[in-house]
Amino acid sequence: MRTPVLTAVIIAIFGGAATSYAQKAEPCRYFTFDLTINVSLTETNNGYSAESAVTCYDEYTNPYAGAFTAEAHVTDDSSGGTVDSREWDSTNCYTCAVDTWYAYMSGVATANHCWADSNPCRRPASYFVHRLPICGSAAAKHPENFGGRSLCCRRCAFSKRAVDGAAAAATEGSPTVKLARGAHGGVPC
Amino acid sequence: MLQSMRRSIVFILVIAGASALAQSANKKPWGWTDSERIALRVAAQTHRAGGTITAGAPDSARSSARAATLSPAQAAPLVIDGRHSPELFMPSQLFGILLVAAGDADLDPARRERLHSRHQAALQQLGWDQEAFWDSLTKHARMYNGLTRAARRNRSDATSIAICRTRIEALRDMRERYQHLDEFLYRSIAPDVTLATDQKDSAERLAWLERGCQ
Repeated sequence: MRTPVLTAVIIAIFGGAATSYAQKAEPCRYFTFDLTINVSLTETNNGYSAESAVTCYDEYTNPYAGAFTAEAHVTDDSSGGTVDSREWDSTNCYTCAVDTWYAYMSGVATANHCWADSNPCRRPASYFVHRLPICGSAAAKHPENFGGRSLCCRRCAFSKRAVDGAAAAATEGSPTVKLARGAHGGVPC
Repeated sequence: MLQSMRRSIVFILVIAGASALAQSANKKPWGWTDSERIALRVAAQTHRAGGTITAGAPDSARSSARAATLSPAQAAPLVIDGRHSPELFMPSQLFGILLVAAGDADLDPARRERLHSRHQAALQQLGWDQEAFWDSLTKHARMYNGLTRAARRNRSDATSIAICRTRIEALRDMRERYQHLDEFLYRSIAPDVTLATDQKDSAERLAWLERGCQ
């Protein structure tokens, strides 16, 4: 097995939007983001897989097919490039509204690179950034988290702070609300 | 009158819950009572901008991002990060998330495979029969998601309440079958989930939702 240096960072930007078609959709009152990313670095399997789900709820916390836009990205933080992405926009399409939008992405992982899975969707009045760094290697899994979760590597926590700084700078002057959360300390893998 | 009494009871529960918070520092996320969660949740809503968003380690970039974008007139959202503050999720919300996932997985073999694989270790640790667990959950999910989809967008209050009630009844049934269901919800479901809302829920409202909208 190669040295487990890959780190996944999940970024989410979310929100919802009402639409005014034949049947006017109420805005989503709650959103949930269910985000996972796995990176395998073995001699026989070097790959990543990421699954993102955005669910819209009404005021009863029942799933609701509201109109919203969403994006999911897997980013190679080392090169700064997006390696795969999915988009969803039901704001102009009444018939395609869903309560849950899924995005599944997978591909080849490159050793010694930091990776990110981002899952943004937005709403005109509310625009947020959510970041969730996760180690993508098997060795990084945290034993108290049922083996499937992991904490971030110190190495990538540092690089993520730089990303956070960029996000903060990009936010200035924006008419929308944008919140960025950074790595939580960074734990050696 | 009845409403007034109910409000008083909820208020007392919130006060009791708040006082219990100080004693609950080392409590596991699944060990909190509903009233404790509600008290914490209401408090987090009050301090939305600095509450759950900053639950992780201090980060100056985060603070500056917030300061740069939030004006006093803007209502900050409540964001619950399941990795940092899982105790802020109400059990029915986590269970609702699980029901949606199980219902969608029921329609897509590949998604089912990923969902089951994702929680396999947790179910093993809890010593549950995985097939039986997913079978029971899927039955509830079919009913719940069927109601949700049939209701479509223009759903009446009565329909919304019926869906809400179905969720809670399913939660109660699964809790009876699986004693440590809440541990599963808070340890295996919550960490991957973030909830965000710009809706400010009162303690009474949260308690009402948790009772199945009744």
